[in-house]
Amino acid sequence: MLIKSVSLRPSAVATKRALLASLIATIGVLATVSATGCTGNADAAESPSVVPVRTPPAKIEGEEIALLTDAPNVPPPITRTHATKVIVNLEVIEKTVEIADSVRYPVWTFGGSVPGKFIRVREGDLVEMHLKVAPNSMLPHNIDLHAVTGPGGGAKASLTMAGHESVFSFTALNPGLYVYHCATSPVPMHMANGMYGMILVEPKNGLPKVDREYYVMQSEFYTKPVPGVAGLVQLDMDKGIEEKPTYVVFNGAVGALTGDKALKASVGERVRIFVGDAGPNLTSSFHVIGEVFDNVYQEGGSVATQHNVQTTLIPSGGAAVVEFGVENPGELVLVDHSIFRAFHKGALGMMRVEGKANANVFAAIKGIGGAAKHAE
Amino acid sequence: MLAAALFALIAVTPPAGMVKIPAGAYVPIYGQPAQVAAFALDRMPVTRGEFQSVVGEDARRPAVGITWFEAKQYCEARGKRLPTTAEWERVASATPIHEQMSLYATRRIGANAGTVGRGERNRFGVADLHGLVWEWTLDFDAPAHNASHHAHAEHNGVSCASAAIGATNTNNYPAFLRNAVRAGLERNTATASLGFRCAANL
Repeated sequence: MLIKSVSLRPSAVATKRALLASLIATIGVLATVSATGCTGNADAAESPSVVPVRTPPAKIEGEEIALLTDAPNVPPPITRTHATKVIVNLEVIEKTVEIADSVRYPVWTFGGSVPGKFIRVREGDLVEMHLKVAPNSMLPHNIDLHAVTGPGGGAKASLTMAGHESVFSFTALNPGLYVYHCATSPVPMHMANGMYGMILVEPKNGLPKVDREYYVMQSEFYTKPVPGVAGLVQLDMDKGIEEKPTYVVFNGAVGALTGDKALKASVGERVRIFVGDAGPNLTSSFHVIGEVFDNVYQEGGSVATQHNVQTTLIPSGGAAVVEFGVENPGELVLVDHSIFRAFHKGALGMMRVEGKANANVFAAIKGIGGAAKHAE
Repeated sequence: MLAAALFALIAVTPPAGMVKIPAGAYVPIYGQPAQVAAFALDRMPVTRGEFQSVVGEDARRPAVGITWFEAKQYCEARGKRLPTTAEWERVASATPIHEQMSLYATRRIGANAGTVGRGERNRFGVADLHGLVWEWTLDFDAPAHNASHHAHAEHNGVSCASAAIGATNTNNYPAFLRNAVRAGLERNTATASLGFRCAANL
């Protein structure tokens, strides 16, 4: 992790300071690299002329069971400073859930919800993936984690029948935020049915401290009615092939982040959102109405690559990390800025910010939403 | 002449509860189009009552929790056999893909599967091929029909998006689903969503 602090002043002095900080950090990192005697260190990859061929750590201390969370919650930041063995217990559960008002869809889940569980490990950890498939499941499933260096991202080793368990292990060689998904054939169907989630591999030195972290994953549903069963829909394969979704949602359902399920923050806090795009088809133009991203780790990489961003592009099967300081109370609106999706198909979520308003940050002076009304 | 005709009629009339499937072609999800000789197939899956593993109100539900060995033995004890994968898939393909998908979506395959015989008969006169239970075939683990991870892991890529490579019809999701189910089976697997029906030579 090279970026130590964020400068809000786009001035030449700040730029020089940032460059100096980077230079010092790089020297520090290289010194660390030679001191520990490892080569192909992840931090060396930040230097553009180096392509590391990574090696797992020489020493793994201890083991622990990963704490997994459901969206929009994220496991707490990792505090240990050594590589350990992390056991991930993930169970595939097939169930029918509401994806929109009075619309039920047969989803296949990692851990009981769409999106699936959030996994948080540290660069260098030895991750032991235990994939179970619930006994009443109709089909076998597997898992491909984009963080894995290995055949099929783990998929080949993890095809698991109903009632069974498969195990494989991998070293989290690359830091960053990665999508995982089921890769059993037909892959588009398994993904369209909700089989995706995210794994965060924290860089060795961790991420800068923030006050709130959230997990948001965008995805699409392609549906048509099930003949003779009111309220139940099924996968519309033709719509999937045409890439014309019925729903484009955050966290698995229309309205999953609205009303009492809105995200929360307070004025003065630093917020980080781990955003994924599961697809299966569309990219996302991710924007928060009423805020500007102070830092964006484009494509979920381990370095904040851009500052002061309105809308960031998230690839299908990819991710991004966005960070912003919250300066004003009110309602922020998360959208995919391909705006018909937000307005008509569900690509809309809310963050409710409490705290003291600052008229210098924003003040309505005249008009219908006039000075008498604070931002709500 | 009449005797010959009568003889021919008797010779091709399948045993009770079975239908004749005429010779015909089918296209497997991987490989070349194939010819399947005429054979007889049970109209319905074997029920629990028939299998005598569960009696009472469950008697008309499909027999499940049965290994390949047990299914094979049951058929052979009755002068029949398990259908080959080619035979089973040929008959299954009589139902349009979208209809197969709807059946998988509505009928919950597995322990809560409905009673045998409620499903519509396809144009061969065979019922309940889709959406009730998965069914054993004689050669489910032959490399041509099975892309298991411990058989040809690279071949047919059932565990990856590369499954599309070499597939005869990428729209045939139900065929991919069944291919994936077969890939996970061993001969001594028994699950609550796996039943069988028998076939016979003609």
